[in-house]
Amino acid sequence: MTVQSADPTVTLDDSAEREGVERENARRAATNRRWRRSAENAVIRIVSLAIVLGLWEFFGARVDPVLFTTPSAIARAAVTMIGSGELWTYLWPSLVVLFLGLTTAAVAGVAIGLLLARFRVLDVALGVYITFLYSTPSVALVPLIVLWAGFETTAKVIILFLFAFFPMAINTYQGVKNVDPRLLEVGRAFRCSERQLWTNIILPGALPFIVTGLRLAVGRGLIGMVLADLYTAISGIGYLIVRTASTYQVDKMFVPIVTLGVLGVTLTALLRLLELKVAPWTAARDQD
Amino acid sequence: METPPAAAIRARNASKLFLDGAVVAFRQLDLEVRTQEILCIVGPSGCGKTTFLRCIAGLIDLSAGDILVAGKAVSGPPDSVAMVFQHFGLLPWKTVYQNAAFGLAMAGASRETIRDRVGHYLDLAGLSGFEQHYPYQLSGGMQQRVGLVRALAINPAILLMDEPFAALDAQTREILQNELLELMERPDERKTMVFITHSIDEAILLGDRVAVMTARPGRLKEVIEMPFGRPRDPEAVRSDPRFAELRAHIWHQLHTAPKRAAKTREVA
Repeated sequence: MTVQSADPTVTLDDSAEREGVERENARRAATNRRWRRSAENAVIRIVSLAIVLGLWEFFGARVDPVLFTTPSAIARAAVTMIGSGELWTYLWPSLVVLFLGLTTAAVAGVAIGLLLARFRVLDVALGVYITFLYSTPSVALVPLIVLWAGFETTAKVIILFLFAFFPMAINTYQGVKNVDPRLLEVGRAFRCSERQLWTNIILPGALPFIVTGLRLAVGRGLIGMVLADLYTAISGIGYLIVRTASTYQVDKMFVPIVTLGVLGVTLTALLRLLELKVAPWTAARDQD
Repeated sequence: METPPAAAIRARNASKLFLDGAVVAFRQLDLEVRTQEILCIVGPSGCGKTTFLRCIAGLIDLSAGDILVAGKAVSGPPDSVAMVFQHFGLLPWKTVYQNAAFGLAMAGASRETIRDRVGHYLDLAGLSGFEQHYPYQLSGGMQQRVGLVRALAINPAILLMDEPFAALDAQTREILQNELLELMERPDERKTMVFITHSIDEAILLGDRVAVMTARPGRLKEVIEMPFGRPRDPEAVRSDPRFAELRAHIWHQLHTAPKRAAKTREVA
C-alpha cells in the first residue's frame, strides 16, 4: 500500500569532472575499436581478392581463350582499350544516356511522388497505374519503346527513365507518408501554414527516403542502360560487350563489364556519402 | 459573461470520445485554470490527461462541450499558447538555434527579434555555445531545454506541458524541475501553465493546484490547493511533512478510483 517517497540521492557531486573523463575514455575506446575493425576488414578483403584472382589466373590460363580469360589478359586489354580511346568512345554515349535518364527520372519521380502524397485525388486516380507499371518487369516494355522511338539516344533515355522513375516516385511518396506524425503535430502546435509545414517538416523528413530512392534508381538505371545498349545494339558500352563477345575477344569483353561494376560501386558509394550529408541524424542512429 | 479575466482556460462539460464513442478519453470535464497559476494534472496513463491538453492546444477537437482560452472557444491552435512535448519534438534537421527559433520564425518574426529572444532564453537555459549543435548531439535534458526555449521564445500567455520530463532520467528530471520553478519565479516570466504528469511528486512540487484525474472513463476527481507558497524551495517542499501527507492523499485518490469507488469518495 505505501509508496516510498522518491528519496533524492544527490550525492554525486564530484561526478561532473569524472564523468567528462570517463566519457572521453569511452569515446577513445570506441574509436579505437572501430578503427581496428575496419583495418581488419580491409586486410580480409585484400587477402580474399588475392586468392580469388590467383585461382582465376591459374585455372583461367588452362581454358580455351575463346571461352574464358585471365585477370592479367583483361588488364592488358584494358590498358590498350583505354590507351586507344576505344573504351571511352563506347562508354561516353552510355554515360550521356545514364545522366539524362537519371536526371529526368529523379525530377519527375520526386515531383509525381510529392503530388500523389499531397493530393488524395491524384493518389487514388494514379496510384493504380504506378503500382501496375512498377510491378510489370520494365524489360517487357523495351520492344514497344524501340518501336515508338527507334534505336537512338531518345529511345535509350526513355528505357532508362522507365527503369529509374518508379523507385524514385515510390520512395518519395513513402518518405512523405512516413514523416513522424509527432513532428507534424509540433508544426501545427506552432501554427505552421501548409507551405511552412512542407518546407520545414515534410520535405526534410522525406529527404532520406528520396536519397534512398535515388540509390535504387541508379542501380536499376545501370541495368536499363546496358539493356538499352544490348537491345538497340548500335552504340554504347553494352554494344561493346556484344561486339567483343561475338568476335570471341573474351579478354576485351571483360573490360566493359568490369567498368560497369566499378561505375555501379562508385555511384552507390557517392550516394551513401550524400545520404550522410543530407541526413546526419540517421547516420548517428546507425552508429549506436 | 461569467468571470472573464480570472480564468485563463475554462473547460465546460468537455468530453472527448474516440472510435465512434467506443473509447472515452474523458467525459464532462469542468475545470478552470486561473491566470498565472501552475495547474498540474496528475493521473495514470490512459486517463485522458494528455488528450485534454491537446484539446486546449487546439490540436484535436472536443466531442462535446467547449474549452475557452482567454475567453474564446478553441478551434485550432490559439495564438497565446505554446506547448512542450514529452518526446521533445525537435526537428532533427535543424540546429539548436533553428529549433529554438522555430515558433518565432513560423510567426514571421524579424531576424533581430528572433536573435534577441532566442539568444536570451538559450542563455537562461544554459545552452549558449550549443547553438550550432544538432539535437542528436545533445543529452535528453538539453534537448528538452531546447523544447522549453522554443515555447518560451514566442512569449505565450499559456504554457502547456505534456509530461515534459517523463522521458528523462530521475536526476535530470529533478534538475529541470528546479530550473522550471526558478524560471517561473521571475516576474517577467509568470505564465499560466498546465502541466501534465503521472508523477505525484512532480505535481505537488510544481503546482499551485493539483487536479487528480482517474482513468476509464477519464474524469476529474479532485482539485487540491497546494499549501506551499512562492518562491518555492524544492528541497524545503520535499522535506515538508505536508508533502508526504498530500502525496499519500493523492495516491489514495488515484488508487481507490475504479475498483472500490462506490464506498467512499465517488465524486459524481
